Order: sequence, then C-alpha cells, then structure tokens
Amino acid sequence: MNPQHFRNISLGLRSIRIVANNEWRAFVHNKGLLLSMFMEPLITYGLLVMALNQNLASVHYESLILPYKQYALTGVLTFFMTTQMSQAMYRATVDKEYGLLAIKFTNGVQPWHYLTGMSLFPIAGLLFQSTILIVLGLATGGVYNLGLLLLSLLVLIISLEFWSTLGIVLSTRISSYQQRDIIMTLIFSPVAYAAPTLYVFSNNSPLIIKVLAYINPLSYQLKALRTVAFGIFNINDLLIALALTIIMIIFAQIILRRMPLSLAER
Amino acid sequence: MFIALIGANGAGKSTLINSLIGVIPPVSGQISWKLKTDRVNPFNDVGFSPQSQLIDWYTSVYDNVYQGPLLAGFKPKEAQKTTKQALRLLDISDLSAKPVDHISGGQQQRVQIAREIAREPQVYILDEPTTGLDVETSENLFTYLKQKVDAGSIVLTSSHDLTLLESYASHVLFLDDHEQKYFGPLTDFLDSGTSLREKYLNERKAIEK
Repeated sequence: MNPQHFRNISLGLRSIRIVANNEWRAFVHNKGLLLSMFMEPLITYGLLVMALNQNLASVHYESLILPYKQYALTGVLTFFMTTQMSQAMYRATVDKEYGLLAIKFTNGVQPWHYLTGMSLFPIAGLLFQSTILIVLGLATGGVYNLGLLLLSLLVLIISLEFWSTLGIVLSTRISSYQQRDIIMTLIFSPVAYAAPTLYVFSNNSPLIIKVLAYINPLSYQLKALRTVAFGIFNINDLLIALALTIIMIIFAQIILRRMPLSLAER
Repeated sequence: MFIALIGANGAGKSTLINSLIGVIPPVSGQISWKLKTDRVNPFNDVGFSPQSQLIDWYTSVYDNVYQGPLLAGFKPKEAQKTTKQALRLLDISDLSAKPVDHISGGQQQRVQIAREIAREPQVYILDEPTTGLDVETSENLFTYLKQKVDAGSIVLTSSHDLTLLESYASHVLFLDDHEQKYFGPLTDFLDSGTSLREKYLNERKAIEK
C-alpha cells in the first residue's frame, strides 16, 4: 500500500470524539483564555451596550419596537462568534505548524471528522460567553424572551460552524503567526462592524456600508438569530444561515482533502 | 529487525522517514507497505516520532501521550492503561498534569516518545529519538525497543549516537547524499575490530575523497 493513501482510510466516527476530547482538554486547561472570555461580555454588554442604552431608548426591528439593550444583546452574541473563530484559528494553527494535523489525517481522521471535532473548542467558548451574557441580560432587562433566546443559541452554533470552519481553512493557508494575526485583524473588525450588530442600518446609510453589509455573512446570520430570538420565525432567514454553513463545510472539506501534509522542522 | 539509519546531516534520513509515512511523496520510485494488522488503518500500527516537535502546546503531558493510543484506535480505558505504562517507562509519570510548555526540552522529547510507545505498534519509526534525552533514559528506551524487536516488532531509528545504535541494532541503513550506501546486517557492515562509529567515519572519509 502506498503510504500516501493512509489518510484515505477512515478511522470512523470515533475520530470525531478523539479530536473533540482533545479540544475539550485544551479548552479547560487554558485558564487565561477563560478569564479573557469571561471579561468580553462584561465589557461589551455591561459597559458599551448599557452606556448606549442610556441614549438609545428603542429600536425598530421588523414589526417590533424593542428596547435597545434587548436588540443589542443579540448583536453581542454574534461578536462572540467571531471571537471564537480566532480560537479555532489558534488551535488549527498549532495543529498545522507542529504536524499534529498531518498525524491525525495519516491515522485516518477524515476532514469532516476533524472539522466537527475541532468545533468543540469554539462551541464551548461560545456557550461559556453566552451564559455570562444571558445572566447579565436577565439582571438588566436585556432579554426579550428567555426561551426564545435559548432556542436562538442553536442558530448561533450553526452560524459559528461557518466561522470556525473558515478559521480552520484560513489556518491551512497561513505559514506564520504574523500572517495569522494580520488576517484576523483584517477580518474581525470589518465583519463585526459592517453588519447590524449593535445598530440598525437604514436606507439612508452610506452606500459603502450597505455594500459591506450586503456581502457580509454575519448580516444574514444576525437576521436568522433575531428571527428566532424575537419570535418572528422567518424560515427564509434560517435557511440562508444554514446554507452558508453547509457551503463553507463543503468548501473546507475539499480544501482539507487536497491539502499537502507537513511536519514542523526543529 | 532493529535498523539503525545512519548518515551525515542532509543525507536524507528525515526525508526517507517522512516519505515512509506518506507525509512527503518520493521524488522517484515508489514506497509500498505490506503490514498485516488488525487495526483499521495500517498507520495505526506505526509508532512515529519525527525529528521535529510533535506537541500540542495547549494540553498537558498526559493529554499529549493519551492522544497517541486513541488515534491508533484504542478504546479510552485501554488507552489510559497504555498511556500510564508509557509515562512510567519514560519516567515522566510525575509530570502527567503539567502543561507541556512548563517542562524542559528533554522532557518534551520523552512525551513525544511516550505517545508512540503507548500505541503499542508493530513498527517504530523514530527520527533522532535520543535527542535531548539523558544517557539512562536513552538506554532504557533502546532496551525497551530491543524487547519489542525480540517479540516481533520492527524498529527503524536514526541517531547520531552510534555507540548506542551499535549496542542494539541488528541492521544498518547507511545513506549519503540521498543514496543508499549500505543496507544489511550490522555485523557485515563492520570490519573486524572496528566500532560502528569508526566504520562510519571511515566510510564518510572515503566518500569525501
């Protein structure tokens, strides 16, 4: 047998558990990261949104008039998604740079097993941050409906798959930590702010903002999240968010399957 | 077989090893594995430690070693058992809970070797496994590998410690400038009365002339 074909022999579905188990261990070991994740909702919602709420009493969204803090809380949830994408990138970069990805694949971990297993780290981070945010929201009247908000976390996790998968794909193309940091800076700020996260874009918004928001996947994911969180349940919004994730996973699968393997040099 | 892979820096030892496991394609010719194994993927029955650091810096010593048998297809309980055995063999049991970036380079090398030992493979492919290891640990490792060879395993290892290799290897694969200069029993490679180190240096001098 040609050893280059080792990667084509699947270890089976258990490899998802193996990869996910390792990601869980990496997550709980990282105390510093947990602390910084803990701080993000406190700063973004506790300080920024609550301060803006003093000036912006209410927001017109679809047919609803919502207190600003309730509207913005859902936007803050999507901020966490892009934060967790950076964690997926960090983890995938470690895997690639130190040859762990090559070893996992050679042992029979298939690309989609890898993508699924690797998503445990960002999902754990997202749920951790979301829990803190929801507690803050409940304490400050920022939750529109708790049941709907908890249901919308499913949409959030599906959308997170899009970003963490994108992060992993980008990591396979990155050859240095500097490159990774540049890409992260170039993606995160435009993505997070060129979407109606903490504000509503009106017809009077500048054209450039409209164009950026139109091509920004986060705009559509926000719509899907809010359609559930505010009880509107527009099926088209949900299907678009789901389709974005499926397309990204298929794209990543193709990239990872063709990716040449490498080991780090000492 | 306990094969000592020897050659100068740049002779192609790591290139050969990386080609053997399919990480890089051979420039010419082809490599074929014929390994009878019950494991799902033939590579699950290979213990491979590259010259580079193959370490997950986010996790502990134990977690790094535990990944090895899991990826070889072991069930969690079985993997826990072989992980503990490997940690004991490499004398790093007391470091189990430590993050890998909090231990020395030599200890990190032990972690890397322990992960492959814990897989209990038929074939060991180890690129410079004794780098950073103290004499005692290197001796223990090679003694363990020799026992495995006696029980039917195959070991292919490169090392610049030719004295150690001579004590344990049954065969020599000598590479120079990406070419095989010799492959066969160690006893046939050595002239009477010369050590592996002397023979290797003589061969190198002859090539350079």
